Amino acid sequence: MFDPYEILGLEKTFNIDLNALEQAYFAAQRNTHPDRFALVDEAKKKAVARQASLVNQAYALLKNPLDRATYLLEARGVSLLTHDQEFLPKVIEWHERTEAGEDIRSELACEEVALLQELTQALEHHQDERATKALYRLNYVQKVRK
Amino acid sequence: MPIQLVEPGQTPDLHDAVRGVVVGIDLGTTHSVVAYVPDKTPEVIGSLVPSTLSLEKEELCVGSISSPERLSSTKRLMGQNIQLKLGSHTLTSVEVASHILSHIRDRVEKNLGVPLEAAVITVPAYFDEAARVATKQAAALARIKVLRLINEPTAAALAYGLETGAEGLYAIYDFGGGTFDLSLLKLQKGVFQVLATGGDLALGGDDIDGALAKYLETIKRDDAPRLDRGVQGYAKMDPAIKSRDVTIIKEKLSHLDTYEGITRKDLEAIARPFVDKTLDITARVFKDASLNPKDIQGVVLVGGMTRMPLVRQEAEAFFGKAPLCDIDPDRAVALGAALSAHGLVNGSDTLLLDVTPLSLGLEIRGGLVEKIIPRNTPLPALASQEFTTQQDGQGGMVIHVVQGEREFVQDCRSLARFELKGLPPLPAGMARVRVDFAVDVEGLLTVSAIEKTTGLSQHVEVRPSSGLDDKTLADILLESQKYGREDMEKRLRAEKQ
Repeated sequence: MFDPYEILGLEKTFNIDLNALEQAYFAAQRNTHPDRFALVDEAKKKAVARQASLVNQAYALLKNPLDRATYLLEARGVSLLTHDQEFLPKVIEWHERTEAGEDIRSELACEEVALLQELTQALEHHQDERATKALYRLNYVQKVRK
Repeated sequence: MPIQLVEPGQTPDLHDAVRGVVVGIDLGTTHSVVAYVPDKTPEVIGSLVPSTLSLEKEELCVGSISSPERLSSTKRLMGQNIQLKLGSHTLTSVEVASHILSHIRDRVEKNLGVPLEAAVITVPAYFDEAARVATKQAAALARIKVLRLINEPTAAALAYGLETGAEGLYAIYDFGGGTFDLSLLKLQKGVFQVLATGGDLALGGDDIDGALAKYLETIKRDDAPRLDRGVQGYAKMDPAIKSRDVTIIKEKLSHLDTYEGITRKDLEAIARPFVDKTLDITARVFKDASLNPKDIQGVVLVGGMTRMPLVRQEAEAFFGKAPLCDIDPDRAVALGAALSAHGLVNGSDTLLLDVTPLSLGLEIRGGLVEKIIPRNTPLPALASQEFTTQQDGQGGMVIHVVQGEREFVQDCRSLARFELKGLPPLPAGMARVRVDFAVDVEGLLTVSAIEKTTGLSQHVEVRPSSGLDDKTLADILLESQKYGREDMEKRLRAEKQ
C-alpha cells in the first residue's frame, strides 16, 4: 500500500510543518532521484525512477491538506461522505445569491478558513464523523471557489 | 594526444571509466553552443555555431550564414515529419540536427584532443514528446551518447544559481531565436526546483525577423511618405545588406537609434506584439504556480532576443525589478548543461527537480480528453487510471494517448494509439483495464495497459515516437556510421599529412 508518510519518513499526523515536509522531500529525492543513478543499467534505472515517482506523489499528496485528510481517514478505514443533508440549505443559499448577482467570494474564503480549522480539530481529536463532514464541505467550497 | 577511434556499437561503457570528455550542448534554433567543465567552472568550447546546414561545392556544411542554399531554424520542425530539400538532398529536421551535432562533436574532439564520451543536450522546456524523441534520435545519428535531455531554462538556472549562489524564487525568461520559455524555480541549498513552466514553440526572434522583412517590403513599395522622415527606404538600401538576414538590422538597432534608415522605434513597433505575447505566457505561468511577479527575488534573462532593449525594458516593467544580466544570455544554457553533464558523471550534491510542461491524457467517449498527468507535475511521475468496457462481450479497447491542454482530442497532439486485444467476454462495465503512465526525468513517456479482471493480465507497452520509424532510423544510423567512419578516417589521414 502507498503510504506517503512512510515514503518521506514522517509521523502520521494531519498537522504538518510545511518546511519540514519540504526538507523531507528534498532528502528523499537526494537518495532516489534518477540523476544520482545516471550511470547504472536500465533495470536499476527503472526501479529508481519508480521510487522517485513515489516520492513525488507522496510530497504532492501531503502538501495538500484535503488530500492529506482523505488519506488519513481512508487509511483508518473511515468511509467518506458522498452527500451532506445538513449542508444542503447553505449550498442552495449560496447558489441563489450568486444567481442574483451577489459577490460571495470573500464569504467563501472565510468559510474555507473556518472549515479547515474545523477539519484540523476534528482530526486531532480523532472525531472521524466530524472530520468527514468538514472534509466534504471543504471540498465543496474549494470547488466553488475555483 | 591521439584521437581514439571507437567502433560503432562498441562505445566503452560509462561504468568503467569515462575516458573522453562529457559536454553540455545547447542545440539552438539559430545558434548552437557546446561547453564542458575542465575543472570546476564550465567553459564554452569555441564560439557559437550557426545552426544551419548548407551546400558548399556539393558537400553538406554546418554553420554558414551566407550560403544562398541553406537550411536554417529547422529546430522548429523537430518532431514533425517534414522533408526538407537542400540541392539534391532530402532531409528531415532530425537529420539536419544530427549534422549540427556531428559538427559539434568534431569540434570538441579537435579542440580538446579527446573523444566526446557523452552529452547533456538541452531542449525548450515546452518541447513536446515527439520533439524530445526527435532530439534523441538526432544525437543517436551523430553517435553521441545522451546522458540526459534537460530543459533550457532549467539549465540556465543551474548556471546562474551555481555561479552566484542565489537562493529564493527566480524566473527564467528564455526568449531565443525560435522559442520562448518561462520557468519559475525555487533555489535553495543546491536544490533547483521548477515550480511551473510555460512557453511557445513558435515565438522567437525568427518571428520578429519575419515581421521586419514584411515591413521592409512595404517601405520598398511605398517609400515616398517616409522619405521626409529621413528614411531612405528599402529600395535604396545597400544590396549587400538587403541580401543578408534582417537579423543584422535587428542586431544593429539594439545599440544604435537608427540604421540604414530604419529607426529603433520602427523595430520596436514591429516587435511589441511578440514581446507582449511572452508576457501573457509569463502571467499564465505565475497563475499556475499561484505566485505573483512581486514574490520573486529576480528574473534571469536568457536567449539572444533578450539583448533587445525593448525586451529588457518590458521585462523590468512586468517584474517590477531590473532583470539580472550577469550571465551571457547566449551561453548560459550550454554552461548549465555542461554543469549537469559533469554532475551526472562525477556525482554532485545538486538536485534538479523539473516538471512536465504539457498535460498527458487519454481519449475517452465523445472525443474528450481525460488528463492523467497534468502539466507542472514533478518528474519522474507515475499515474494510473482504470477504464471499463462499454458493451457486453467487448473484446478489445483502443487506447489513444494525447498531449496538450485542450479538452478535445482533435486539438491535442496524438502520441500513440494501440489496441488492447483479447479482453475476457464479460458484461459491459465488468472488464477492468488499468492504464499506467510513466514520465521519466527527461519528460519522456511510457504507457502500458493491463487487463486485470480475470487475472489474465495483458501488458502492452508503447513508446510514442516521432516521424521517423525505427526501421528508417536504423538505416540512417547505419549509413551515418558508415560515412561517419569514412569521414573520420579521411580526417585522420589529412591530419597526418
